[in-house]
Amino acid sequence: MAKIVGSFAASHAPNIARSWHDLKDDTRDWLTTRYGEMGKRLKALGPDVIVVHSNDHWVNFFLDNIPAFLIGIGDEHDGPPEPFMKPIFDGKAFRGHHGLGSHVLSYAMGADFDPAYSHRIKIDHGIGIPLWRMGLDPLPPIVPVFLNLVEEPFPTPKRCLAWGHMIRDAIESYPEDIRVAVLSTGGLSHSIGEATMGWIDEPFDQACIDLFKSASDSKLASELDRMMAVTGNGGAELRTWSIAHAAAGGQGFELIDYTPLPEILIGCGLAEWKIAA
Amino acid sequence: MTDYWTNKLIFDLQGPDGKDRWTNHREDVIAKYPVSPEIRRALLDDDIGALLPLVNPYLMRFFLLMLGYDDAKSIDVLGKFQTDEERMRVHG
Repeated sequence: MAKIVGSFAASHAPNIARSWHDLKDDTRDWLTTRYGEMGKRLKALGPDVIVVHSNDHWVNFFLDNIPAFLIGIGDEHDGPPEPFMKPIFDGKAFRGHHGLGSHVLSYAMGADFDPAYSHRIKIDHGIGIPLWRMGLDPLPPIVPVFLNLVEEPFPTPKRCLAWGHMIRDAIESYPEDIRVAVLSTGGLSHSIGEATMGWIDEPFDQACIDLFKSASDSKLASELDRMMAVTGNGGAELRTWSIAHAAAGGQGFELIDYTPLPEILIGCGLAEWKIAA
Repeated sequence: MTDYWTNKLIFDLQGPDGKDRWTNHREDVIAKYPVSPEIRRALLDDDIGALLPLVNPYLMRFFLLMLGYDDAKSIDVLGKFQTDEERMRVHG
């Protein structure tokens, strides 16, 4: 049977790619060492597949059709089409994992979730940037999972936690002996294209970090609900962190590092959840 | 409230020739979408305040980049439309 070997979360600010060569040395060094550390930890776990949760940024979906959850089940997915991502991936496709993706889809349906699915989805910067900065080479196949976190209403934190638990169960019921890591991307606080743009809400970020250390599911869900309503719109992406948290069994959180980085407009954080044996 | 056609117009400008079309053929681009006269005027005048309540923030971010606004200018332009409550949250 498949085994979940690790769960991770990391920010995915587009300016990391868009402005990489123009960033201050300190910022670039911070990003290089922290994402490098996460990549080292992930590689050490030897994952055969990575299940990656992120949000679409108007690359795959528009207002005429926005799935709350979508699972990429194909054996291949398109590389990021955004102009600032082109120099990094040069249009190269990402390997998918049809077996695990289809299994997670069927399992989700059987568990009363109703996700959309795609045999070929475009990977955008949300998934591309953390994978790029972690330096995984070769990159294992991925099962991309997209949440709607750009146009409200969004899935509730409670639903995201339930989704994370379901993902764990789905992985562990996959009949092949493969090692699977979970990666969630987004957050922490940021404010994009709204009147408070540029705001990094450090108290929000610290409160979220504290919650992941010890809060129960019900406390985490209610607090995220309350706090996300009064922070910048990018804070909504903490929902993906809650999925990584639940997939790890709601314990084992270890912050790799956090710092506010105004140059890339986000509170930048990376974390690992150790999976209990 | 989200305006479908205004967002659709901006969404469609994400293609490789979007900036050129918007810079050099703006009226022709707008004419393809059934937007109200007020929205048409706001698009022609770069009236960000009028567009802000109608446009998804992530598309607004793209739109401002396409207009050539860097991060500092985007923050400055959008910041003018903060409510008192938002100002309190950001600045304490």
